[in-house]
Amino acid sequence: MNTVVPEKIEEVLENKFPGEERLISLQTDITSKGIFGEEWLFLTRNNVIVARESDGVAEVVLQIPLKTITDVRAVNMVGGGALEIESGGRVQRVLLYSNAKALDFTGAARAIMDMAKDGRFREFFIERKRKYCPTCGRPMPLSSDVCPRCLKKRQTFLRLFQFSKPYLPEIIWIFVIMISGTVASLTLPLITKTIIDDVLIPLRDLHRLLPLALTMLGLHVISLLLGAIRARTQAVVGSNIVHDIRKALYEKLQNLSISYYDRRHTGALLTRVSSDTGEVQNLMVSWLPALLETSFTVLGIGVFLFILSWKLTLYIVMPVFFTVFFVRKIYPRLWIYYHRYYEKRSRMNAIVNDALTGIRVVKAFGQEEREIERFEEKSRDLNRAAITLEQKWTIYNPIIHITRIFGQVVVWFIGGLLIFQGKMTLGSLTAYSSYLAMFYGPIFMLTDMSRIISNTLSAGERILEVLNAKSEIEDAPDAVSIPELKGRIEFRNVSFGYNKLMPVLKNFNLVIKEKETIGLVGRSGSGKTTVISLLCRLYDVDEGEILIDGLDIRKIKYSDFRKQVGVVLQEPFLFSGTIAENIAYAKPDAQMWEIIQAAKAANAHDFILSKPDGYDTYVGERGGRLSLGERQRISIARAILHNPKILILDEATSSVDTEIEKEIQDALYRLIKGRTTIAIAHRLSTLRNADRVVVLDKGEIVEVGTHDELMEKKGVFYKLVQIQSEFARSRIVFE
Amino acid sequence: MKEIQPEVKGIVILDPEKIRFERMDNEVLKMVLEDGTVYPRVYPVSAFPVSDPDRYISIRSVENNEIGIIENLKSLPPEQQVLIRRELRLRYFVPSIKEIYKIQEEYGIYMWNVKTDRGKKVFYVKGRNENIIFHGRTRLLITDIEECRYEITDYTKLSWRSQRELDKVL
Repeated sequence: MNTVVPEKIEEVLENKFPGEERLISLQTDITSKGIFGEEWLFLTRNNVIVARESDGVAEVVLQIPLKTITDVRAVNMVGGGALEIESGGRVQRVLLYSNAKALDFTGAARAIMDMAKDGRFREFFIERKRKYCPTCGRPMPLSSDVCPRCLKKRQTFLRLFQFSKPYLPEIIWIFVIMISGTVASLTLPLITKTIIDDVLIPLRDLHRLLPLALTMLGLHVISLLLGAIRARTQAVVGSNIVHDIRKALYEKLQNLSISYYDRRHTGALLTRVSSDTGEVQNLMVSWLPALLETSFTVLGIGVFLFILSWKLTLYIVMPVFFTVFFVRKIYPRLWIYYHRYYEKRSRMNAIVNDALTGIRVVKAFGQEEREIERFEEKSRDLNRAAITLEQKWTIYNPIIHITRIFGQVVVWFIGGLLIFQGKMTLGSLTAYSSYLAMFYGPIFMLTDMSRIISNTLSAGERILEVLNAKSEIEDAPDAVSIPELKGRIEFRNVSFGYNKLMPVLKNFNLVIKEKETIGLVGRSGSGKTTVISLLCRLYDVDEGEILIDGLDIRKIKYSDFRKQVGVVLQEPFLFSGTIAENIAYAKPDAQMWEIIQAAKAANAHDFILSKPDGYDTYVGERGGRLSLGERQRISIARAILHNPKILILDEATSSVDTEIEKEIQDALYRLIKGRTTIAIAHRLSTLRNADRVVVLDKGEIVEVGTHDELMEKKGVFYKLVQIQSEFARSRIVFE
Repeated sequence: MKEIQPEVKGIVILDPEKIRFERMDNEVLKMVLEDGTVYPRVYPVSAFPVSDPDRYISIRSVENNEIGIIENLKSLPPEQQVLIRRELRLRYFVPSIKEIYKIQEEYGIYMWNVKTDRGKKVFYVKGRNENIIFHGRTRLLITDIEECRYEITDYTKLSWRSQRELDKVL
């Protein structure tokens, strides 16, 4: 936490505060004028000191004796914050800092406050996520835990190749075929050379012509056959590998914690599964083998060219150098346009995904026109990016073409001279020329391939990035298996915030006994949903712990834990499938009889049977073919069948008509019985039935008690109920 | 439908004639009402910091409760406007990019080397999709990996060189 203090500031401090130990030395990145620059904050046993160095002169800007301090706050602002200290009746803005330093100063504020209160120094070091690589100090890409700079670039390839391990025998087989095929096709010009030099020019040994011609035919046939066999094996191996990658990717996406999804667009993730894996498939099935083959060819031809005439080879090296230069230097510029193209595409996909998932809202507000416009804008951007990309290529392609022709011209001219000087035979030159034609082809293909491969490589990188993402919720190494929970829950000093600087829950303490029903009440934003999200372990707490049966939730095997926690959500999510499948979602091996019992208990049995297909009724995408009341009861049935020890209930605010409402309440009552239940309660009946009602406000518990106790107390709860019943009355009038 | 939360009714519009802001060196902003009520520590917050930072300035306490709203900053006396604008400028640490020296990509992270109205800076931006946002056709808001913000008020007005660099990420 302490960085190196500049010498001049050290000197000034030594002069002014000789011998005072510095407990905190922190550097800010913004000056008090709100521009980029450095200032320093120091905490000693007696003083808070701010110092800075400007134009080579160090000075102490501010000094506040700890004794006079009454309040210290790190105030969050936009893009940064301010450290404000209240002392002797005035509030001073001591320092400004950007978000990069916000955690440090939030910690410092607490440390200073503690020091001022009781003179004890406790270091508040808030652990921050590793944003920078510890080796090279530069930022880590996205959510990966490895710094690719400190790994080799080849790593992406290598890691993708990890997936090819199971297919090693087939791959070796492909290699063997590839090498023999290349050798076969490379021998062809040598036969031409023999025919010209040994038969045609001397005009003798006519009997050799037929065998030579037949060999030519044989070699052609062999290389074609080998090529066909190779392509078939390749297709099998490549497709299998891609299937494995796709599977791994989807598996990972399922296992990642919710916080991963909070930060990302579902549309962009969709692209990763569908089109990025497609790109990788191209890489694995077509481009990579082609790359290998051309590399072999280039290597082989290179050797033949050199043997035929090393002098001539030196002449044609020049254009090759140019090609290499092109790949190395000019190509990266083209990359930018590729990246941009892909980015635009995923932006467009995101829009489509947004609008189509929210199509009901779009229709309801009659915003089709605007959505079309939004899409058109993105589509036009994509279109433009595609055009720029292709146009850039039209500049570079002719340049490449010219070098190719240049090589051929050089060969015929220099080679012709060499023949005149008797240093080369016509057969050699012919063979040379055909090798050269075979040589430039692959070289240019390699250039073009570097474009394609780098594309697909970035698709591969994106996939690997997901594969390497660490789920924030993971089983601790010493996690224990608990097949049967009792259901006692304790929140002990829990603090949590989606943004660590803004805790939603602050020092939250609550003990829930076995089989107790707790009603959580509070205005929106008071932290109710956060409490249940933490209990479901969608997130892990920042500070404190949640104990289940006296055991830290993080020490219980995640899968065991989830099996015993049931959730009934406000907006029940049904998957496309039948009603029976949805009820049995948490227990796929449930017997039909069990499903019927659960449905009966949830008061769903009768409405289900009134459908023509009964339990086999298809619910539609997200359960769209059922009414809200029906979906709610199915989700209650699902929870009943799941039979959890701990039940989490997010009651719907939007209610259905009175009769169905009563049926749902009935069902809920049956569900709650005998389980530890935490309910975000809106229904008065739930609150009356709850053993205790906990009232939350701004992440803190403000009232606890039974419904009647709290009503008598006439506090926050009383007021909330008043508002609600007023609302209920107004609704009746409204209806 | 009736108002369900009584608090919602209570948006207090502050009469520019009846309030005064004061700020001593190094201290926080203080607000004094005509009737003598003193709020020793207030924070102005823009309701529309991007689209119209002058309209609807909420004056908030340190506990983040709203004391009242100033409908238009321009209705305050000039020196009061300066005071509030200074506070807003400190609150919204959103340097405006005036010149882009270089943008370099590595592993999906873009290093921006820029000159802003608050000094030179090198910062890193993850990808581009979510962190470079268009407001209208020409205004850009950029968020770096530290969640610090930067803006480009009109990218078409940047120098040719800056635009060429910016071209890499748009």
